[in-house]
Amino acid sequence: MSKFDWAKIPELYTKIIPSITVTLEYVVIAFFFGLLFGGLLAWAKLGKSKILRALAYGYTTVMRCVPAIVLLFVVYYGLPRIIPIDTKGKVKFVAITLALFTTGSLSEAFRSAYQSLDKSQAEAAKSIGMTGPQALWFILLPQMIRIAIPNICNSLLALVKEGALAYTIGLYDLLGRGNYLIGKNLGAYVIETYVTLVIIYWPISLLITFGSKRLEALLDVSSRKERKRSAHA
Amino acid sequence: MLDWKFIGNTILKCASGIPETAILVIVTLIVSTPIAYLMALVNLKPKRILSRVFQVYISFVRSLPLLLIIYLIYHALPLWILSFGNFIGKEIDVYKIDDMVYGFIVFAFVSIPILSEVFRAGLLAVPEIQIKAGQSIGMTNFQVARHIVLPQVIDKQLPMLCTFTTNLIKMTSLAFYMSIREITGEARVAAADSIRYVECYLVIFFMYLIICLAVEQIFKAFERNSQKKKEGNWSKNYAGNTRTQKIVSGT
Repeated sequence: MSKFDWAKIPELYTKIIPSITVTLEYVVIAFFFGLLFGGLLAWAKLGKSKILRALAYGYTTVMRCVPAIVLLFVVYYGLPRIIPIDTKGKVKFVAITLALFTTGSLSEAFRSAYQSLDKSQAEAAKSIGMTGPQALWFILLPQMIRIAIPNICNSLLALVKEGALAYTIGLYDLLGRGNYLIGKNLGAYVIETYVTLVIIYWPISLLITFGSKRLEALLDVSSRKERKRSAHA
Repeated sequence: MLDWKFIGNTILKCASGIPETAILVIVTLIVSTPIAYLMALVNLKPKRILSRVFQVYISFVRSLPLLLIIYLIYHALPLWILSFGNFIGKEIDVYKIDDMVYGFIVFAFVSIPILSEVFRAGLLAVPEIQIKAGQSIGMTNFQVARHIVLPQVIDKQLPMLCTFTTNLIKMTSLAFYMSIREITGEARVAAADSIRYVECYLVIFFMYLIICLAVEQIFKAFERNSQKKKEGNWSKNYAGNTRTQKIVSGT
């Protein structure tokens, strides 16, 4: 049994880290579409149409109840059967799957943020003659974003984590690259490779968590004023 | 387009993985709940050294992909067991250890931190004055925990426990990578045998959906039940008695 070789880790690190572009690619694409459709879904949930509301809630329930890997397989094998799509670029299947998931969780984040707002805010905006979209853009949305930030960042974190499943359909993202290297080394340095991946993934997640807290503090206008006042005093 | 007879057979095949999934989930819950509860008790005071160690552990599990944790433990654990065997001077045959045992260890490892955070939030919601009240009438610490704290923690955190359980069911879909033939594992075998991937995965898609919805309904029934019980007790014992109301609400 070979001993754990710390000296191997920098070498593995430099070999794996370039694949972060693949991971970032599907995370960014999925996050963008998740925000877009999540917003639409939240709008449907809060809207007056009963059918749209039922559909939106039903969609969220389905996404909550099905494992990511199963949906990934369904998308990967099922989608090319329905629409003519090139099966070579595997990134798009991962991005689609992840976008489907984040749409559900982000719509819940937006909906709960909207519902936590005081109703008088919208009424006050109307009373000074703002139109509906104006009130949404200038009054409600800035407050909603601040409230929703912890949930949005949790979704982003989940994206990075669930994205590692991409390896199961043979995409060489971070984890896939690591497993590829293990195969190339004929099964040597297995634990060293996974420890290297821990060293790569952990800071990414910590960065997201830290960024979430910073952003929340930055957008908290009321406490910002307090701080300024105490700084002047 | 879809072959219904084939789908019927696949449903039966995949359903044969349900016991494995159920065992994984239930054993994990039984093993990790007491440990997580103790961890939550320690974490109530965040400045303790032990609690700082636990916070690193929580961050570790929260930050890493489950697949990576599975790979890491599945490959590292046998080596640790071997070296532990050498340490105590006994030959342990790691290849004889059932894959299910690895499954229990991995899923308990990832469940404990999540559950401990659930319990911690519940514990924080119990007013300290209730614990003191319990002690003042001569209850032992264990009795206080059993009759005053625990029922409230579970009652308050029932929705979170429901979310956690469904998440755990979803997590077990990766147990295939530890060679456990649970639902997803059976589906993968069936898919590889028949080369009809879409049908097989659609079958387990709906299977997981039904299972998770059923679990949610069970938890909702528990919630309704405890709600009813609470209302019943309230009107029978405490209604109109402002003094007990004050004590119970902790003001």
